[in-house]
Amino acid sequence: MKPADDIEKIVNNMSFRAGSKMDRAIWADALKAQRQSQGPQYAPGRDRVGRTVMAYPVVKLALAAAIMCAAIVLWRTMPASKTYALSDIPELIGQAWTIHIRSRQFIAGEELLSEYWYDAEKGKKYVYTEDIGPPGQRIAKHAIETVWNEPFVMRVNHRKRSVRFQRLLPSEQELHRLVIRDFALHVAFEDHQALNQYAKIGKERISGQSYDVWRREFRDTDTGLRLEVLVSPRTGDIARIRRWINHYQFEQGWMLHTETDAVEIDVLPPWGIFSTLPPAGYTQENSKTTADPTGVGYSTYQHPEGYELRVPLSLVLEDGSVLACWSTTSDSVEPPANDAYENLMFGEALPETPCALCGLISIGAMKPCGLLSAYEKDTPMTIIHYRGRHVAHTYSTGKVYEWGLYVPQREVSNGKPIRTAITVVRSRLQGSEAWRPMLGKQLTSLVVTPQSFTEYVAGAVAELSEDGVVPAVMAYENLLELAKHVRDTPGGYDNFKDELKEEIERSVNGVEVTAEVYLEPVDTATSHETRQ
Amino acid sequence: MVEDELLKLRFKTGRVDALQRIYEKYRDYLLTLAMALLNDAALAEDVVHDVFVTFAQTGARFRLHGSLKGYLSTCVLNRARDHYRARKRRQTGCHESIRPRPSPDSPDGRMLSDEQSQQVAAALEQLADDQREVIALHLNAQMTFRQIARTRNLPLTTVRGRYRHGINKLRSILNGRLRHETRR
Repeated sequence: MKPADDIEKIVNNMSFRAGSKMDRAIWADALKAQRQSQGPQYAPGRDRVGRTVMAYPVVKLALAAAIMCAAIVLWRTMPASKTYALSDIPELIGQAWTIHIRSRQFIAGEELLSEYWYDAEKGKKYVYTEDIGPPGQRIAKHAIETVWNEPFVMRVNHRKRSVRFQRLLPSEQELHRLVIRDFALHVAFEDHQALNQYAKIGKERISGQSYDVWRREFRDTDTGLRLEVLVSPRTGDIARIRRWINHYQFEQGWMLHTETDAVEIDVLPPWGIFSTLPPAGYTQENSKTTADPTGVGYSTYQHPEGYELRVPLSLVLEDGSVLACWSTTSDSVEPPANDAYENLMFGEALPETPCALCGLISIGAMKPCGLLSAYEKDTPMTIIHYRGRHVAHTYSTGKVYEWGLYVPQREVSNGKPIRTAITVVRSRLQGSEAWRPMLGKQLTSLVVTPQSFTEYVAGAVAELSEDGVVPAVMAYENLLELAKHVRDTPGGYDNFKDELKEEIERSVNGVEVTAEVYLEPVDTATSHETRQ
Repeated sequence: MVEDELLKLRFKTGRVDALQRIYEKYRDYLLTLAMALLNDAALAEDVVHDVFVTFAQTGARFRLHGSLKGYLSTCVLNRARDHYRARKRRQTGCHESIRPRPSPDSPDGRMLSDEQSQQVAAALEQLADDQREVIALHLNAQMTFRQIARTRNLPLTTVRGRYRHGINKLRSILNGRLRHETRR
């Protein structure tokens, strides 16, 4: 220790820091306290009146008597404290500030970890996944980390020791904040829209706490899928989510496929987890200034020849039409020739690139459930087709961005801030004349007002074009007029519907779908399985 | 300061990010202040915990025209006072021996510090409560003597006197400890 001459400096330099346990404990309680405090709003001026009235002893006595009476009445009439069921969980997660999910997947003798942190308020997300690559490729276990910290997305490939940046346009940042809790729900449950179809089959104790076991099972001739969720009826905490697989032909019984051991709400994320600083010693494939624009509502379509279809922006107009900006890019092969974009006319057909977003459909009976049944049987199959029309194209840093308007066959409005539809992607291999429309991944789009539309489009064009000037045809009213014209054109949707008919039937009837995707639910609430 | 004013406004509207920023900004600072006043890791944690939980509960009712840092420091001081008064009562009333304190650098890593900070906290504990308070508020909470006098409702000269006596005593304690360590 130094001589204590400069005693003030020594006291001033004194430092105590909270360790992670203390940090989490204090923060969790503070957060809880804040949430609990957000009840009825404070009424200014009430204090003064209250104090004046309470100056009279008679009033105090009367108030005390009234409180006692109210307490007795409440005690007699109040229901028992809330008991949480599995179906309450979406509401709990829907109000969460932060969400943490950690799972282990058991594949080919390997244990693969995945971890997710969401800061729903700030639109930040951290994803860590381990993978072993496709069967037969013998790729050693490796990890990928993705950090979403607006406006940047940093993807760290630990196998290649490389980092790549992408960036979100302002409208996609807004969309990200709107859907982040849904993403978390989907990661945790996959079939979160069907949690009310689980059956409570018993109880299980973990670390001295009792949890209700909720189960749902699916079965076809080859495969069984069993989902179990352990929920505390007292607090709503989730202790475990387990997914079991049974390949009946191998007669191995139920095998644990995935176990989630953490679904935590409102815990403090580890310090610096949302940092987008590349790890030391890693190669940067690009920088934040050269980051590719990417979208939240659509991942990518990978063409067999190396092209990628990306949708960095999609906005929903008041009649349900979707303005989507997409590009077909490739790091490994020549980009599609620019002549694909020549002679395109406003309101006419979309460009014929190696892969193109040629339309959208929404299916009323569809329940996106990940590995589970994609379509609910015995429900009306209401299909709305969105036909794609060319609006404009812009150039930026050697890439061409196509702006297409996707017009539903009738006006669609559900009052929600986001809209989802299934993409119809048309792709073609080199030398092949046949274009094949396929049903692709979901596209989630942001519903906008005329004002926000103008702002978002101006912001996007500034980044996705060389001159930064919004094409005149991209005015909101102009697009509504185009949409009306497309809808009102007699027989305008017939070809599109005919082309897709076979593809939709194939998907919905499960001809091409694996057994895991299309399984029949079975009754799990049998008495002999109940564990008390 | 501007940031604190914005944080206060956002906190009043129930923004969790404001609470989080306030927490991250002042957590360790308040913990150090609590340790300077109490020299007890568990009690310091309790104090900081209580201050943040109570602060978080105020929500929309929170009204503060002065400095956020000063407000939180005063909250820590008030709670620390309750604790060391209770400790004094226990020691004098029940002849209870001073219980061994857990090391701040406990194996579970709840609190982290260096050796010098621990020695200074131990030396501060040997001062009279009023001297320790003034030193901690002036040196750790960076409050001026005038601010301390105003918040503690004391004459300015008294505050200065307590500080001077406290610093002299602290110097002799630390120098004595230093000599003792050198002989060893």
